[in-house]
Amino acid sequence: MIVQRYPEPFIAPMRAELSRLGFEDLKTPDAVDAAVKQPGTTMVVVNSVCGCAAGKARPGIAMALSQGKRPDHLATVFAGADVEATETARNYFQPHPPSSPSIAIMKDGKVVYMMERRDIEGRTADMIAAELQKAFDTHC
Amino acid sequence: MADVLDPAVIESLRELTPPGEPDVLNEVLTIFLQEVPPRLERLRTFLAAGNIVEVQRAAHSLKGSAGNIGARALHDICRQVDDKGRAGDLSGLAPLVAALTLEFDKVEVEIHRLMSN
Repeated sequence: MIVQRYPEPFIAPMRAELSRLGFEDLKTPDAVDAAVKQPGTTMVVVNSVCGCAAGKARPGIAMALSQGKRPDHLATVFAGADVEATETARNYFQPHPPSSPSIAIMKDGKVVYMMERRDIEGRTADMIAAELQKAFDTHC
Repeated sequence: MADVLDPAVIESLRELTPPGEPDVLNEVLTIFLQEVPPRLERLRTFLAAGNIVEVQRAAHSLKGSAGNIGARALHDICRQVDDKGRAGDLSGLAPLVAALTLEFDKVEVEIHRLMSN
Protein backbone atom coordinates (compact mmCIF):
# COMPACT_ATOMS: atom_id res chain seq x y z
CA MET A 1 0.00 0.00 0.00
CA ILE A 2 1.29 3.48 -0.85
CA VAL A 3 0.54 5.92 1.99
CA GLN A 4 0.04 9.44 0.67
CA ARG A 5 0.01 12.57 2.74
CA TYR A 6 0.60 15.77 0.78
CA PRO A 7 -1.67 15.82 -2.27
CA GLU A 8 0.18 14.84 -5.42
CA PRO A 9 -0.69 17.99 -7.41
CA PHE A 10 0.86 20.06 -4.60
CA ILE A 11 4.19 18.26 -4.70
CA ALA A 12 4.29 17.44 -8.42
CA PRO A 13 6.38 20.52 -9.36
CA MET A 14 8.83 19.70 -6.54
CA ARG A 15 9.19 16.12 -7.82
CA ALA A 16 9.61 17.39 -11.36
CA GLU A 17 12.65 19.47 -10.44
CA LEU A 18 14.51 16.23 -9.73
CA SER A 19 12.80 14.04 -12.35
CA ARG A 20 14.03 16.27 -15.12
CA LEU A 21 17.58 15.81 -13.85
CA GLY A 22 17.17 12.06 -14.31
CA PHE A 23 16.14 11.06 -10.78
CA GLU A 24 13.96 7.97 -10.44
CA ASP A 25 11.00 8.46 -8.08
CA LEU A 26 10.99 5.64 -5.52
CA LYS A 27 7.44 5.32 -4.21
CA THR A 28 7.54 1.94 -2.48
CA PRO A 29 9.91 0.15 -0.08
CA ASP A 30 10.64 -2.45 -2.78
CA ALA A 31 11.68 0.28 -5.19
CA VAL A 32 14.04 1.69 -2.55
CA ASP A 33 15.53 -1.75 -1.84
CA ALA A 34 16.16 -2.32 -5.53
CA ALA A 35 17.67 1.13 -6.06
CA VAL A 36 20.14 1.10 -3.17
CA LYS A 37 21.30 -2.42 -3.92
CA GLN A 38 22.35 -1.59 -7.46
CA PRO A 39 26.06 -2.00 -8.09
CA GLY A 40 28.01 1.24 -8.18
CA THR A 41 27.07 4.59 -6.65
CA THR A 42 23.51 5.76 -6.11
CA MET A 43 22.57 9.24 -4.97
CA VAL A 44 19.36 9.15 -2.92
CA VAL A 45 17.68 12.47 -2.25
CA VAL A 46 14.99 12.79 0.41
CA ASN A 47 12.93 15.52 -1.23
CA SER A 48 10.67 17.72 0.88
CA VAL A 49 8.13 20.53 0.85
CA CYS A 50 10.54 22.45 3.11
CA GLY A 51 11.68 25.83 1.82
CA CYS A 52 15.33 24.85 2.04
CA ALA A 53 14.67 21.98 -0.37
CA ALA A 54 13.29 24.48 -2.86
CA GLY A 55 15.78 27.27 -2.39
CA LYS A 56 18.94 25.36 -1.58
CA ALA A 57 18.94 21.57 -1.98
CA ARG A 58 17.30 21.06 -5.38
CA PRO A 59 19.14 23.95 -7.10
CA GLY A 60 22.40 22.80 -5.49
CA ILE A 61 21.86 19.25 -6.72
CA ALA A 62 21.13 20.50 -10.25
CA MET A 63 24.35 22.53 -10.26
CA ALA A 64 26.41 19.67 -8.87
CA LEU A 65 25.19 17.28 -11.55
CA SER A 66 25.79 19.71 -14.39
CA GLN A 67 29.53 19.02 -14.66
CA GLY A 68 32.30 16.67 -13.60
CA LYS A 69 31.94 13.27 -11.98
CA ARG A 70 28.48 12.08 -10.94
CA PRO A 71 26.90 9.03 -9.30
CA ASP A 72 25.97 6.04 -11.48
CA HIS A 73 22.31 6.20 -10.44
CA LEU A 74 19.99 8.95 -9.21
CA ALA A 75 16.95 8.22 -7.05
CA THR A 76 14.59 10.12 -4.77
CA VAL A 77 11.87 9.63 -2.18
CA PHE A 78 9.49 12.37 -1.08
CA ALA A 79 9.09 12.90 2.67
CA GLY A 80 5.48 13.46 3.64
CA ALA A 81 4.26 11.80 0.44
CA ASP A 82 6.11 8.52 -0.21
CA VAL A 83 5.92 7.76 3.50
CA GLU A 84 6.85 4.07 3.50
CA ALA A 85 9.54 4.49 0.87
CA THR A 86 11.07 7.33 2.87
CA GLU A 87 11.06 5.20 6.01
CA THR A 88 12.82 2.41 4.13
CA ALA A 89 15.44 4.79 2.75
CA ARG A 90 16.05 6.18 6.24
CA ASN A 91 16.68 2.67 7.52
CA TYR A 92 19.53 2.40 5.03
CA PHE A 93 20.85 5.80 6.15
CA GLN A 94 21.30 4.80 9.81
CA PRO A 95 23.02 5.85 12.03
CA HIS A 96 22.25 9.21 10.43
CA PRO A 97 19.04 10.59 11.96
CA PRO A 98 15.87 11.13 9.88
CA SER A 99 16.21 14.40 8.03
CA SER A 100 14.46 16.07 5.13
CA PRO A 101 15.67 17.27 2.83
CA SER A 102 18.80 15.17 2.85
CA ILE A 103 21.19 13.74 0.30
CA ALA A 104 22.91 10.37 0.55
CA ILE A 105 25.46 8.71 -1.66
CA MET A 106 25.24 4.92 -1.44
CA LYS A 107 27.90 2.57 -2.71
CA ASP A 108 26.96 -1.08 -3.06
CA GLY A 109 24.14 -0.65 -0.55
CA LYS A 110 26.07 1.31 2.09
CA VAL A 111 26.03 5.04 2.86
CA VAL A 112 29.39 6.59 2.01
CA TYR A 113 28.29 10.23 2.22
CA MET A 114 25.40 12.05 3.89
CA MET A 115 24.29 15.67 3.77
CA GLU A 116 21.61 16.22 6.39
CA ARG A 117 19.17 19.11 6.58
CA ARG A 118 21.35 20.89 9.13
CA ASP A 119 24.14 20.82 6.54
CA ILE A 120 21.78 22.20 3.90
CA GLU A 121 19.92 24.97 5.70
CA GLY A 122 23.03 26.99 6.54
CA ARG A 123 24.44 26.87 3.01
CA THR A 124 23.63 28.49 -0.31
CA ALA A 125 22.83 26.39 -3.40
CA ASP A 126 26.33 27.17 -4.73
CA MET A 127 27.95 25.91 -1.54
CA ILE A 128 25.83 22.75 -1.60
CA ALA A 129 26.83 22.12 -5.23
CA ALA A 130 30.52 22.56 -4.39
CA GLU A 131 30.22 20.21 -1.42
CA LEU A 132 28.42 17.59 -3.51
CA GLN A 133 31.00 17.82 -6.29
CA LYS A 134 33.71 17.13 -3.71
CA ALA A 135 31.72 14.10 -2.55
CA PHE A 136 31.31 12.92 -6.17
CA ASP A 137 35.06 13.26 -6.72
CA THR A 138 35.74 11.20 -3.60
CA HIS A 139 33.14 8.47 -3.95
CA CYS A 140 32.04 8.22 -7.59
CA MET B 1 -7.51 37.67 4.53
CA ALA B 2 -4.50 39.31 2.87
CA ASP B 3 -2.72 40.22 6.08
CA VAL B 4 -2.95 36.64 7.39
CA LEU B 5 -2.82 34.42 4.27
CA ASP B 6 -1.42 35.60 0.96
CA PRO B 7 -4.35 35.44 -1.51
CA ALA B 8 -1.99 34.66 -4.41
CA VAL B 9 -0.66 31.55 -2.64
CA ILE B 10 -4.17 30.45 -1.68
CA GLU B 11 -5.33 30.91 -5.26
CA SER B 12 -2.37 28.96 -6.63
CA LEU B 13 -3.17 26.07 -4.28
CA ARG B 14 -6.83 26.21 -5.27
CA GLU B 15 -5.88 26.01 -8.94
CA LEU B 16 -3.83 22.83 -8.40
CA THR B 17 -6.95 20.67 -8.07
CA PRO B 18 -7.46 18.53 -11.17
CA PRO B 19 -11.08 18.14 -12.33
CA GLY B 20 -12.94 15.54 -10.29
CA GLU B 21 -10.16 15.21 -7.70
CA PRO B 22 -10.21 16.16 -3.99
CA ASP B 23 -9.60 19.84 -3.32
CA VAL B 24 -5.84 20.39 -2.95
CA LEU B 25 -6.25 23.63 -1.00
CA ASN B 26 -8.51 21.91 1.50
CA GLU B 27 -6.09 19.00 1.88
CA VAL B 28 -3.04 21.21 2.38
CA LEU B 29 -4.85 23.40 4.92
CA THR B 30 -6.10 20.30 6.75
CA ILE B 31 -2.56 18.93 6.98
CA PHE B 32 -1.39 22.32 8.27
CA LEU B 33 -4.04 22.32 11.01
CA GLN B 34 -3.15 18.75 11.99
CA GLU B 35 0.61 19.19 12.04
CA VAL B 36 1.27 22.68 13.30
CA PRO B 37 -0.36 22.73 16.79
CA PRO B 38 1.72 19.80 18.12
CA ARG B 39 4.89 21.27 16.61
CA LEU B 40 4.08 24.63 18.19
CA GLU B 41 3.57 22.89 21.50
CA ARG B 42 6.94 21.14 21.16
CA LEU B 43 8.57 24.47 20.38
CA ARG B 44 7.14 25.98 23.59
CA THR B 45 8.31 22.97 25.58
CA PHE B 46 11.83 23.22 24.15
CA LEU B 47 11.89 26.95 24.87
CA ALA B 48 10.85 26.35 28.48
CA ALA B 49 13.65 23.80 28.77
CA GLY B 50 16.16 26.21 27.21
CA ASN B 51 16.86 23.73 24.42
CA ILE B 52 17.87 26.21 21.73
CA VAL B 53 18.84 23.54 19.19
CA GLU B 54 15.38 21.98 19.21
CA VAL B 55 13.71 25.40 19.30
CA GLN B 56 15.54 26.25 16.08
CA ARG B 57 14.60 22.95 14.45
CA ALA B 58 10.94 23.33 15.37
CA ALA B 59 10.87 26.95 14.18
CA HIS B 60 12.53 26.00 10.89
CA SER B 61 9.96 23.31 10.27
CA LEU B 62 7.07 25.64 11.15
CA LYS B 63 8.53 28.28 8.86
CA GLY B 64 8.29 25.88 5.92
CA SER B 65 4.71 24.96 6.72
CA ALA B 66 3.72 28.62 7.03
CA GLY B 67 5.39 29.45 3.73
CA ASN B 68 3.55 26.68 1.93
CA ILE B 69 0.16 28.23 2.68
CA GLY B 70 1.21 31.85 2.31
CA ALA B 71 1.01 32.68 6.02
CA ARG B 72 3.52 35.49 5.58
CA ALA B 73 3.48 37.01 9.08
CA LEU B 74 3.68 33.58 10.68
CA HIS B 75 6.54 32.68 8.34
CA ASP B 76 8.36 35.88 9.28
CA ILE B 77 8.07 35.26 13.03
CA CYS B 78 9.25 31.66 12.55
CA ARG B 79 12.19 32.98 10.53
CA GLN B 80 13.15 35.30 13.39
CA VAL B 81 12.98 32.40 15.87
CA ASP B 82 14.92 30.19 13.44
CA ASP B 83 17.63 32.87 13.05
CA LYS B 84 17.93 33.42 16.80
CA GLY B 85 18.06 29.69 17.37
CA ARG B 86 20.78 29.27 14.78
CA ALA B 87 22.76 32.05 16.49
CA GLY B 88 22.24 30.35 19.87
CA ASP B 89 20.55 33.52 21.10
CA LEU B 90 17.83 32.82 23.68
CA SER B 91 17.22 36.52 24.38
CA GLY B 92 13.89 37.83 23.18
CA LEU B 93 12.70 34.38 22.15
CA ALA B 94 9.85 34.19 24.67
CA PRO B 95 7.97 37.23 23.29
CA LEU B 96 8.63 36.02 19.73
CA VAL B 97 7.15 32.62 20.51
CA ALA B 98 4.17 34.35 22.17
CA ALA B 99 3.72 36.39 18.99
CA LEU B 100 4.01 33.20 16.95
CA THR B 101 1.21 31.63 18.98
CA LEU B 102 -1.04 34.66 18.50
CA GLU B 103 -0.35 34.71 14.77
CA PHE B 104 -1.07 31.00 14.48
CA ASP B 105 -4.44 31.63 16.14
CA LYS B 106 -5.24 34.20 13.44
CA VAL B 107 -4.15 31.80 10.69
CA GLU B 108 -6.28 29.04 12.17
CA VAL B 109 -9.36 31.30 12.21
CA GLU B 110 -8.71 32.31 8.61
CA ILE B 111 -8.26 28.69 7.52
CA HIS B 112 -11.55 27.68 9.12
CA ARG B 113 -13.23 30.60 7.39
CA LEU B 114 -11.76 29.54 4.03
CA MET B 115 -12.68 25.91 4.51
CA SER B 116 -16.25 26.70 5.44
CA ASN B 117 -16.76 28.69 2.21
